[in-house]
Amino acid sequence: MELEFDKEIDTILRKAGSTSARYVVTGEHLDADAIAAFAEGALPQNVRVQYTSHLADCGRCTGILAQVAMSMPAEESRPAAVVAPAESTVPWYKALLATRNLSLAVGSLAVLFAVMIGYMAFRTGADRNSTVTQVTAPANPVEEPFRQAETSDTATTGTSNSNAASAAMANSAAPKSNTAMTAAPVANAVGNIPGVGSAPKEESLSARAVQDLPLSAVNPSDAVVGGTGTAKQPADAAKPTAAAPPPPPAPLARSADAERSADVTTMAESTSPQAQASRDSRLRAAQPPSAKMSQSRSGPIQNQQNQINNRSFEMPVTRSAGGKTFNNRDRVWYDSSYSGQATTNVRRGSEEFQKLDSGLRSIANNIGGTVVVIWKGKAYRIQ
Amino acid sequence: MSFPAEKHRATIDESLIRVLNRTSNDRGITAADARPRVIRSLEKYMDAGASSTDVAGFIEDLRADDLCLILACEKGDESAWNDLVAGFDGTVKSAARKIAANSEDADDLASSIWAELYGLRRDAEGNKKSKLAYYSGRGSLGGWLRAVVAQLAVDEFRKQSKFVQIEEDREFEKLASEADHNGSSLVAHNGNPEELFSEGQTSADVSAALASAIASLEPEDRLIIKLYYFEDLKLKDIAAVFGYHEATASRRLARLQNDIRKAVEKNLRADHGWTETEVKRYLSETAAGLGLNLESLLALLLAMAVMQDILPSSVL
Repeated sequence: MELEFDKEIDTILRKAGSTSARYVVTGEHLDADAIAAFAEGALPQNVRVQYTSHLADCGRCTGILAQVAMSMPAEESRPAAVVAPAESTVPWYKALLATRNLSLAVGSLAVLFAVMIGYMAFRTGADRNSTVTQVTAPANPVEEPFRQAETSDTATTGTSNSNAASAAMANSAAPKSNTAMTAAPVANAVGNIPGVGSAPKEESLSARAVQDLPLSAVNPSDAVVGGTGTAKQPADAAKPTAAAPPPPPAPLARSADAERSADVTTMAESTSPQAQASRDSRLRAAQPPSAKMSQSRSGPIQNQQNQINNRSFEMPVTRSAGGKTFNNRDRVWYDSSYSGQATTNVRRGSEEFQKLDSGLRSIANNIGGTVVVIWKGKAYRIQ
Repeated sequence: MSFPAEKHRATIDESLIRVLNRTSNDRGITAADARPRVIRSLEKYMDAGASSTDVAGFIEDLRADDLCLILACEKGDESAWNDLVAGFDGTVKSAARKIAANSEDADDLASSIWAELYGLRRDAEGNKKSKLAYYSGRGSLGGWLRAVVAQLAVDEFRKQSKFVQIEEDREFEKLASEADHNGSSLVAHNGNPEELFSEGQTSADVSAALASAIASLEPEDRLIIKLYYFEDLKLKDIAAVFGYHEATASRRLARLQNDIRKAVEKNLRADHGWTETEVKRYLSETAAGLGLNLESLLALLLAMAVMQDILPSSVL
C-alpha cells in the first residue's frame, strides 16, 4: 500500500530543519574524493555503508554532499537514478498493457484465440475434401498425414476420391517442385549469412535446415506412396511456405542454448530474402503443431491466420549470449541472474560504453535493444 | 589492518595495464606512474581481506582517462594542464555559482580552486602542494572538482556558521520572550495545545520526540531526512545520490514520514504524558499553520534573508 505524503509531519520536520544546527562536527570528516565517489555511487558497498553512517550524523559532510548533489548535472549523475524505468519510455498504446499481469493475460488470450481460429479453420477445411485437394500450398510433412488420412478415408467411401488423390498428386507436385527449388536457396541463404558458416555449429544448422525439409520436396512420388515416411516427419521440420506472405523480420523463439546464441543473433539481424526464408522456416519449427497445421493451407483467411500465428511468436522469451541467459520482459532483456539491484546505465556508442569490458560489449551487441547484464557482480543497463 | 598492497601486486599491475590500454589518451602515463596512486586508493577504500577479484574489479572501475589526466598534470605536463582547465573550468565555475551569492564571488571562488589545484603553495621541502594528489580516480573528475568547490565553501561558511546559528536561535527565543512579556502572543489561543505551545513546553516535548524519532532511524533513512529537510535537497537529487528513481525516493520519504509520525506520537504519549487527543490536535494544527503570528514570521524571515545576503560576501 502506498503511503501518502504526511503534510503534518512534513511541516514539523521543515520547522526543525530551519532551526537545526547544521554543521555539527562529528569525528573525522570525509574528504572531497570520498564524498564525490559517494554521490556517484562509485564506492564499494561496505565502504558506502560506513560513509552513510558518518554522513547521517555529520552536518558538515552532509552539507558538502548536498552541494555536490545539487551541482551535479543530470547527464553526469548516477545513471541508475537518472534513467526512468523502462515503462516510462513505452508509448501510450503500450502503457495500457504496462502491468505485467495484464500483458500476460492479453498475450495468453491472443494465443488462445489464434489456436481456436486455427482449429476452426482446420475443421472447416477437413469437412471440404475437394477444397483441401485444390490447395496449392506446398506439402509439408505435417500436412501430408492429413492429406493421406483424407485420401485414405475418402477412398473407403467412394471411387471419386481416387480422382482427388491424383489431383492431390498433381497439385502437390507443383508446390513440391517449388519447395525443391527453394530447398537449395534456403541452404545457400544460411551459408551466405555473415558470420554463419564460419563455425561448425552454423554448418550443422544449415545442414539441418536442408535435412529437415520433407522427403516429398525431393521425391514427390513418396508423398502418396510413402505416406508413412512423411507422416513420421518430425513436427519441427522446417519448410518455407510459398503461398504465405513472409512475416516481418523477427528474432527466433528458442530455448536457452549457449552454443547457438551467435547463430540466433546473426540470423535475426540479417535482412536478405534468403535469410528471411530461413528465418521463416525456423520460426515455424518453433511453433506448436496446431499452428503449423493451420499454416499448411493457403487462402486469405489462412494467410491472415498464418500471420497471426507468426506474430504471436515473434517476440522470443529467452536468449543467450556469452554463456548468460536473458529473459525478455517488457522489451528489456534481463540477465537471469539479475535480482533487481540498482543498475549502471550505459548507452551504446558512448564513452562509458567503450570503457566496458569487451565481453560485456559483445553481449550487449549480440542481444541488442535494452539489456540488463550482471557483469563481475555489477548490474549494467545498456541501451 | 591496512590493505596488503604487496600481496596483490601482480593483480594490481595486470589490472593497471589493462585499464591503461583501454584509455583513449593515456598521456604517457605508465602502470608504474599510476601504481602509487592506485595503491593509495586501495588502502583508502578496500578492506584488508579483499580478494584478488575484488582488487581487479576495483581497478577496472577506475576512471582511467581522468586519472591519467591528473597524473600527467602532476608530472608537469603543460598540455595536460591546459586540457584540464579547458575541459573543467566550466564545471568549477558552475559549481561555484550555485554556492556563491553572486557571479563576482563565484569567480573568486573558482580562481581559489584553480590555485589550490595548481599548487601555488609549497611544503617545507619546496614541493608544490596541490589538491590534485587527493583525486583517486574512483569517481569522475568533474564530480571531484564539484566536491572540492563545495568543501572549500562549506568549510569557510562553517567558520561563520556559529554566528549564524546563534543569531537564528536568538531570533526565535527573542520573539518568544517578547510575546510572553508583552501579552501579545505568537500563538493563537484557540485551545489547550496552543497554550502549551506558547509556554514552550509543547515545542520542547515535540522537539525531543522528533529528535528521538530521527535518531532511531537507520543511517540511510536519517541521511535522507537530513538531506531533504535540513539541506533542502530535491527528491530527484536525493534519488541520484542513492541510485534509484525519483518516484522511489518519494515513496521512501513518505514511508519515513509515517515512521516518524508513529514514533513521535508514541513518544509524546509514553514519555511526555500527552493524550491521544492532544497529540492529534497538535499535529493537525501545526500543519494548518496555527501557532505563529504572520507579521512576526515575516519579520523573522526578513532578518534571516538579510543575514544570508551579508554572510556569503564576507566568507568568500
